[in-house]
Amino acid sequence: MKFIDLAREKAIWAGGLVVFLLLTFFPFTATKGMALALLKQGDFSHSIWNQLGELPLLNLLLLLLLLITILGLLNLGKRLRGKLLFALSLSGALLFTIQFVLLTPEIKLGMGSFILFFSFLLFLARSLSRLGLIRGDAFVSGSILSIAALLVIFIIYPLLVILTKSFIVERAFKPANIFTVLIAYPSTWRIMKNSLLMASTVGVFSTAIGLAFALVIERSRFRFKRFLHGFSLLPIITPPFVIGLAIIFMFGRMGFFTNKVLGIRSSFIFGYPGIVLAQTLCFAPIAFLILSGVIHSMDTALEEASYTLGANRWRSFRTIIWPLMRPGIANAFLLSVIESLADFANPILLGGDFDVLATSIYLAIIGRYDEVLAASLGIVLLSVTLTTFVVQRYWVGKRSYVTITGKPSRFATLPLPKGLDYSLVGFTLLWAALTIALYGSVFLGGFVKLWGINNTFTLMHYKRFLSDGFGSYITTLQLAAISAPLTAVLGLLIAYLVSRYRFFGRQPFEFTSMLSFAIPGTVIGIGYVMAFNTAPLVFTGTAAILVICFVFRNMPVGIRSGMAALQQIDPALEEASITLGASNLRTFSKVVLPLIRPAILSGLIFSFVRAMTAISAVIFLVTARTKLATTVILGRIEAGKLGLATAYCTILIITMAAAIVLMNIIVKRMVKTGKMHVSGEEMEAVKI
Amino acid sequence: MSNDKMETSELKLENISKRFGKVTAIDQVSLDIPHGKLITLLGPSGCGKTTILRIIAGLEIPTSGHVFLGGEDITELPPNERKISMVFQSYALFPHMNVYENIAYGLRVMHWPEQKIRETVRESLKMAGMGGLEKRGPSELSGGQQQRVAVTRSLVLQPKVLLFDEPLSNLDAKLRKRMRGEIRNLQRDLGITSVYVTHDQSEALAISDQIVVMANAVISQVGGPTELYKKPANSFVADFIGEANIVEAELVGIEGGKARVKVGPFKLSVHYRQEPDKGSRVKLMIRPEDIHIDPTVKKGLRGVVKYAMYEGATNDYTVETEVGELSISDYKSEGGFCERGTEVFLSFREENVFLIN
Ligand SMILES: Nc1ncnc2c1ncn2[C@@H]1O[C@H](COP(=O)(O)OP(=O)(O)O)[C@@H](O)[C@H]1O
Ligand SMILES: [Mg+2]
Repeated sequence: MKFIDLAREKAIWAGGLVVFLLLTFFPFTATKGMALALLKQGDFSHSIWNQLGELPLLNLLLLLLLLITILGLLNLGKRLRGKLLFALSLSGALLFTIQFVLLTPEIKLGMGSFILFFSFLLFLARSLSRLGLIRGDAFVSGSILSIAALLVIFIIYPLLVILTKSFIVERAFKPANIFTVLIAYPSTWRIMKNSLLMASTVGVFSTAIGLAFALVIERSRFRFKRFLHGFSLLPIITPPFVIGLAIIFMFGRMGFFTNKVLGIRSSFIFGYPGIVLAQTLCFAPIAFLILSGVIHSMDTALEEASYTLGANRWRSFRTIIWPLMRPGIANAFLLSVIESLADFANPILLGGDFDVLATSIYLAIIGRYDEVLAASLGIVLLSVTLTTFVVQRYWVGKRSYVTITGKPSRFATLPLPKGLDYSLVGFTLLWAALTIALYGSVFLGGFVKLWGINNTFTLMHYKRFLSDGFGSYITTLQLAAISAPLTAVLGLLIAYLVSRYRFFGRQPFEFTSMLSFAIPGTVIGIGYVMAFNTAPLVFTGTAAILVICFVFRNMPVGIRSGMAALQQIDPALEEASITLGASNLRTFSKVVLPLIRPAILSGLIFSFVRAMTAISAVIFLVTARTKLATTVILGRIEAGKLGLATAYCTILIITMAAAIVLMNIIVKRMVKTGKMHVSGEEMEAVKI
Repeated sequence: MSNDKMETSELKLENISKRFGKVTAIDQVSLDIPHGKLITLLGPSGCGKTTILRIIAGLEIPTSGHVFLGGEDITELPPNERKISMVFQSYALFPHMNVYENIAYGLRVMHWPEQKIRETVRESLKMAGMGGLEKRGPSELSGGQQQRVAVTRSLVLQPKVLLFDEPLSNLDAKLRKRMRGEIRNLQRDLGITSVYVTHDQSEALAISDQIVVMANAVISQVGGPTELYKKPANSFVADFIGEANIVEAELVGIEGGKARVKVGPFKLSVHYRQEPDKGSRVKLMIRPEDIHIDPTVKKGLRGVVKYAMYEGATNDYTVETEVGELSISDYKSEGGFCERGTEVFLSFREENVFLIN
């Protein structure tokens, strides 16, 4: 028996060698903002080989890596090698953490150190799957461990930093400090009261309007209901501030409706009414999507059974449809509440002196430079949204899944009771008219000199855009285009792992990955600023931090569409692939990916759109070099250049609409050439 | 193939248990599956058949116990390294690939040259009577064709063991009969070791070398089709394989390897598997076709017809008697059709009555 076996464990010894090679070319420590960069030519002062003597554990780490590499060459028993690999790689990952988090947190880590850490993780993953601790091969276990590490770094760690900011005073743990801070700040109570009032009102209104639209589109006799469909979805591709600007144009001091029609000059819209109107317009579509999904998948046989048992249309509606829809309604309400609390753009634009949590956090950092206050308010906001999120997910979420059985509903749907139908159609048409008026005003606002004061036609705002905005437009496009595929793939991978594999820690894994949905952007923003501005991880000021922020904030969308798509795929297909000899990676790429292509595309487009329209988190992260469209628009609004802001918004809307149309064409073509079998629900998901 | 190899077990399960949380899906199951034979796992739904199959395939890892393939312990070997193929209940044909690509899938995994793959796929499709359908998508095939593609896809890999999970349950009754004949012939011709799961006892009787009857996560009895039908180990097997009347009787004595029992007006001498305890009451299994019914003789076990059904080949009755209700399948219909309420007289075909413990 040979003692050295090159063929058996190629992945380990070759992998080890590659890591050594990479460590030579990437800086192990970083200067500010260069965490992800390559070594500069000729300058090897940040290379790992120059730090060896200085950090005692580093020598040990490299020794461990060397041992792992050699282990891959030795001809040992399978279990023995698995155990040795487990011990070596686990101690590697732990020692790394001890050295750079506990012993020398002041060292700024560079690309090389990430490579070293993740290589230990991947070797650990391989040993775990070899030892049968994670069911699945190295691809599965490697993905699980790497994603878990990323979740810890980019979601848990920033949250912890926020907590320490307000709980730790002069290196002593004093949780009561948060109350001291909040009580000392005079507006705390008013802000909290305002936020809750706003969120609950918006929750009720959005849900009601979403429900009206869902009922009309799924169940009305109205012939032109497809037309309403488009309107209900329009706000999703709308950048922040558009609705706010439109409301100012229509209902502000110089507003078309208030001033020209009613002939009054009043700022009543700034504050509670304006925010509620704007947010309802923004979030009703989300409620609509949830509720139309619920209604769509409801089995009409249940209603037919009710008719055959002698109930009339109205009674069936009350006793069958309504109870089945209730969990969905709770769901829509809670999600609207979360969105409303997290919303930054509308309150900052329309709030006046009605200040809410999200805007107060921003002002605490930008206006008062008070990190502790910002962190404390952030914790309050986070606890409210998180509680809502947990209620939504584990109480309502479970119930609503029970009612939505996977059975596809048939084509014939039963119409609503007549009276209800007509009043709902009337109402939704009115709402659509309001939407048209608002969007129209924004569109027109870009072509007049000064809305309400000088209404002569002009192209000057668009000309101005070319000089004062085009740069940020391109930056935004680039960053959105980079982050969209990353988000979609990561979200999909997480959906795949969570729905198809059982592993230790799956629940917290899933929870954390969906968590960023419940963390308001402002909280993520201050978390990132506080966490990634100082060693050991320094990313602020780079474009990378923006991409990372986009990816981890938008990931839940990718996860959701991935989960929905995977639910429709018989797991037996994957099992068939595996029993036919294919690896998990091959199964994922040849069977799973092609079957969920629509979900991938919709995930892609969704994350693209969300990246284009992000504001609340990135406003803390942009620099002069990395300006984004939304932050520029906010700047112009604050400078009073509403025309330019409006023109910019119009261009963003057109860009996103074009992207969505393009994607729909691609999907349609795929379906037509017979390469795909798309169910109705998937098409719905794509259309978003 | 040497005779020696025929006798050695190819696949061996040793004390396999599997729990899902609190549910025990299978409990201490041991099985030897000889080379080239077709073994059927038969039992009501939920008794753990699929779980056993998935453990053999490597899709589940048993909570305890071991799986051996050709003497090698494969309990923890990943499914894609096992050379065991599975035909799924839903066929699991890849909907985004046509027939050709489906069958070529496993061969491509093994990095066969494309030329050789093409020849193999063509040939195997022709053998399955499906030449020329290469370009069809799975949804453009009939149920029977889909089934053939699924089997072919597994067979081209020449697996050491082929697993079937209720492969015919999605077909209509006529096609089911035909396909089970096809599967049996193919399996015999290729001499491929197979494990076949079904809840349909007639299917099991028709195609198996051996049947493993399962109930509630454990094995009830293992045996050939005839043995299970004629000599069931317990009343569950008796009832599950075919139809059976279980009748209480009084044990009189043991005589020449047979038990003398008293049931109703009869004294019978019947076969048994285990010698029953003296003086105890025992249970007899009497198949419906082993009861003779006659309205006229006025001799034997008296009864009254409770349900009467004309079934074409037979007349089926349920008759109330002093030993309980009895189901009867009357093939000859010598006495004509007996309407509900008729007084009838029954007798048993003594050599087929079996004592169960
Ligand atoms: N993945 C699983 N999780 C939980 N319980 C399961 C799982 N798979 C099977 N079971 C349970 O194990 C028992 C046996 O199931 P199965 O092997 O599918 O039965 P059969 O194929 O004989 O109908 C059932 O009670 C079933 O509910
Ligand atoms: Mg089953």
